[in-house]
Parts: sequence; C-alpha cells; structure tokens
Amino acid sequence: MDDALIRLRHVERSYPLGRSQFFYVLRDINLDIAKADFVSIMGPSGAGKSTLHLLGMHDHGWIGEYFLDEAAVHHLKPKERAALRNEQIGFVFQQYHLLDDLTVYENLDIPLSYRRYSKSERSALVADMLDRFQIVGKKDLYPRQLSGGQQQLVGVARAIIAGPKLLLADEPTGNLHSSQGEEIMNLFKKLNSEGMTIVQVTHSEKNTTYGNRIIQLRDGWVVKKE
Amino acid sequence: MRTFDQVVSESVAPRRLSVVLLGIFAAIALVLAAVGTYGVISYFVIQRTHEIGVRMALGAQPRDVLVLVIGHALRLVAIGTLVGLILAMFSTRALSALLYNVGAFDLATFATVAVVLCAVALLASYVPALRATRADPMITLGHNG
Repeated sequence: MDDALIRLRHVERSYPLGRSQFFYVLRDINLDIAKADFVSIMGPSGAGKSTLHLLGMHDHGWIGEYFLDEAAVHHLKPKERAALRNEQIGFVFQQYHLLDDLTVYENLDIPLSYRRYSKSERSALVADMLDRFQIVGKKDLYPRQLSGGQQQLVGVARAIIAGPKLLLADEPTGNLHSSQGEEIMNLFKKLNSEGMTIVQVTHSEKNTTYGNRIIQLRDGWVVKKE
Repeated sequence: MRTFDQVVSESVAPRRLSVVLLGIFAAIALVLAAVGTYGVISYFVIQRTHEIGVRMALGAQPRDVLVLVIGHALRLVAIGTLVGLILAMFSTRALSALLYNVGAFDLATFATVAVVLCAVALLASYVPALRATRADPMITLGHNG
C-alpha cells in the first residue's frame, strides 16, 4: 500500500509465563493502515491495548517490523522513537488522564511545553484549540469541575494540539454516557474527514460504525480485517 | 612532672569534648536533613507517579522529569534554608558568649552552611528524581497485558 501511514510486518508481542513459556498477546501481525484511515481494533481485553502501546511506541518489547510513514521504528533507539512519537502521534485515553492540579488551559499546554514552540506560539495554539472545541469559557476550570464528556473533549484537544498525523484512542467513550460518547465519536469522524488517521481500540460495535475499517484480534492473531 | 603541652591539653579537655560532641551532633543533623529530604522527595515522586507517567506519554523526556522533581526539591530547600537562616540568626545570640573569633552573624559561616545544606538536599533528591524518570507510561496508562 503506497499511501500507508503504518505498516506492521510479522509483529509479535509476548510476556514470559515461566521457564520457556510465553503468553502471546500479538502473533505475526501484518497490517497496513492508510493515511486518513479510521481503524477500529476489537478483541479481548489487553490485545487492542497492546497494539496501541506498540503503535504509540510506549512498549519496546515487541519483535518484527514497524514502519510509521517512512521511519523504520524497529531500527530506532528509544530516544529516537520518543522524538518520532512527539512529532507524529497523539493519544486519547479512556480515563482522560487530565492533570487534576492544572486548568484546562494548562492541560492543553502540556504537550506543547515538551516540543519546540515559543511561548507566543503555545498561547496561540491553545487559544485556537479552545476556540475550535468551543471551550474558551472553561479555560480556567479544573478537570474536576467538568463533566466526563467535557473532560474527554479536552483530552481530544490535548491529543491533537501539536498537530499529529496519527491519533491513537483507547476506549475513548468507555467512561461516558451514550450522548457524550456520540459527541466524541462525531468529533473523531470530523477529525478523520479533515485527514487525521485514527486508530481506536473499542469494545463497542456502535463506535466501530464511525470508522471505515475493523480489525478483529483473537488469541493474539488477526482473525478478521474489514 | 608534666610537660607544658600536657597542662594545656588537660586545661582544654572539657571544651574539646564539647566541640567534638557539637561536631558529631552537627554531622547527625546533616545526615537527618539528607534523609528527611530524600523521604519528602520520594513521597512527592510516589504521589505524582500518575502525573509523571502522563507527562511522559505526552512528550516529556527524562530530562524534563528530572527538572520537575529537582525543581520541586529546590523550592522546598530554598524555603527551608531561608526559615533556618532566620531562626539561626536569632539563636546564635544565645551562643555569642561561647564564640571566639567569630561574630554571631558571621556571613561566611551562614553562607557555607546554606550551600552545604542545599548541596546535600540536591544529592538526596537526585535518587528519587532519577527513579521518576523510569516511570513506565504503560503502567500509568492502565496497561493490562
């Protein structure tokens, strides 16, 4: 696939169970994800999350080949992977993982503070994001003062503020009421229509309908690609 | 018959004992300060493990985590040193009768003590700070295999 953003070849991830015994969460994964794809990964607890950690380069214990755009991730050192991750990937978490002691504004500023932006650029980007997500009025509030849906909205804004090509979402509506969940999924669909590649891990059949591909994992194997 | 040196030595023996004891207590105080700082910063790191993991997942490098943790330690040390110096300025008045060749507000002594305590505190905070840089985002972000 020429327009592939992600290519996985013979990727495996296992955890030792005892002497020469292993528990495989991913086995011989061969997968292409195109630019502007919206992929849903479904499967038993753990398998999808392992895939996300692998794609997000938080996990280094896998074997095989992983290409992100033109970069051969499997050849990169941890520091180079971290730099690539900062440049290309945004994360949305089921538990939002906003920092409780920081305001909405400050939470949005965190990813920028670890990248090469000047203070004025950071202010402008945060202001843009607050405006785009219509949360200007909430910029001085703390996460505990927001509803779950609003917190996840901030989580999505934080994930895309540094302009990643790839958005990885771990059960993004898992902690939300259905109406809030729909709002977040519609937002994902909108981002995808604007060109963002999205990979979500979900147990919700409904959430998969917002994407254009489903990958089913079982016992570590890809059993179904749509 | 005793030599002159012996006479002098015996005459200052009680004071020498006081000085040695003071030195030992000062060394113990320094060790306690280091252990206390280590404990406080370790507790800070444990309390903020989640935050550190999230920050690392969002792009923080080990260097950024070191700055976060040691920066916090420095703030605490600065406050502690300032309060300590103010208290010391008052308490040295009580000791002024025992001082010889040193004033109650000897700047060099105060500065040396402050610098030594800051250095000890920094060293004591470095170990927990280094441990914080090894926070695993996979654990923080709820990986379950």
